[in-house]
Amino acid sequence: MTEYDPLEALGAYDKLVAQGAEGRVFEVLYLKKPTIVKQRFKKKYRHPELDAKLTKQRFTSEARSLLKARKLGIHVPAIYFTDAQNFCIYMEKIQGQSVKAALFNGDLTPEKATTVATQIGKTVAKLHDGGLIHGDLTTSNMMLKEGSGELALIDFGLSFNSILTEDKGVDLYVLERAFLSAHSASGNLFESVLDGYRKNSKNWSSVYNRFATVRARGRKRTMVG
Amino acid sequence: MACFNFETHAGSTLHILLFQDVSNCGDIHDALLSGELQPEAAYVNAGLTPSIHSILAAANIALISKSRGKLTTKTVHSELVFNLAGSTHITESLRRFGISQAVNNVLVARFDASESELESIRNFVQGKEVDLTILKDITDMKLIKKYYKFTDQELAIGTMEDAIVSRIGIRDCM
Repeated sequence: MTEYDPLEALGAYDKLVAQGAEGRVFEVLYLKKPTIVKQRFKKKYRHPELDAKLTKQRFTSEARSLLKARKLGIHVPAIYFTDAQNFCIYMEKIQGQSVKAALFNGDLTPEKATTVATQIGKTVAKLHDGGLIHGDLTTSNMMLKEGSGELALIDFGLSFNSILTEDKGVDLYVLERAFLSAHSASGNLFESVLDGYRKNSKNWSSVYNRFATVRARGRKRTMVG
Repeated sequence: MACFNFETHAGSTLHILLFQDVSNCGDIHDALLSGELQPEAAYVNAGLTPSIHSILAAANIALISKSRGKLTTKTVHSELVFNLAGSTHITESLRRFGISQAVNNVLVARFDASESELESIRNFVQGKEVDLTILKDITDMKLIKKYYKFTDQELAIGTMEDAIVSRIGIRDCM
């Protein structure tokens, strides 16, 4: 007998939204709600034992990070179901557009863009103060909710727990690179991000100092000697 | 009473009934424990389900486990109650979210129920059947906060419904 597969029952395989290196994303209806399913798949080039371990680890850590972020008071998708057998996370589809899209298609006035940037800083500060690092802070992983306009974070696939200023600094550095490469036309928005972070973080000075160091040397630490 | 279906299981239904001021919870509990209660159903402390959505989330997961032949508890109905707690501790989950002598308001859920089965549930439960819309008015806030351990920050940004469903959904990752 073949194993029961909820994705097949949902007709998800015809509704692929995106495919990346780590997994696939489907959009289905689950519990009568628009739902995003993120599935991590097997990688044939990796040793099977190692593959199983890594996939499982990343799958559980993503789900846990989502819940932790929610507990910290950050807008994140609600989790409807985690399928430990197929490594699928079923989560709420956030209605709205990404910050990246909003900045690109000119939906935001310069004043509104500054407000959003400050909001980003505030959200990241909350995340970091709670000991959670997002790991992939880019403007395409931030959503502006339809209606309320609140800022939601998505994709916690690279997220991890840490209270080290080094990790927080690198997280901010990744975000700065994202702003510089994608939104240099929108003016100096990252200044507003830092401003929002400064006003809402309890550890601003130490994080900022480390951020300056990271900025000078790049994301990777040089391991010499 | 209301009837729900599931996208993952086209043929299955779930009937949910809500009873207020039930006087024979102790008897129902005893009957459940003896395993002789017919028709079998999930009996839930209605004070812990502020909206129907948490029941549906738990029910859908129970259906999926059943289809895989991987139920953790004895039946699909007890699995529903167990899932509702979002915890891996079976006894504790059933004790907290199932019924006991002390419970007044009872929510009964039965998969693929026939008319006659619903009738016998109504005859067995001694209480007033009420509309599901009053669920939010009979919620035991103190208890629900204690069991699900919400933080103030998360209730400030999202609904309690989402907070509960997230805890139910994430159980396999904890």
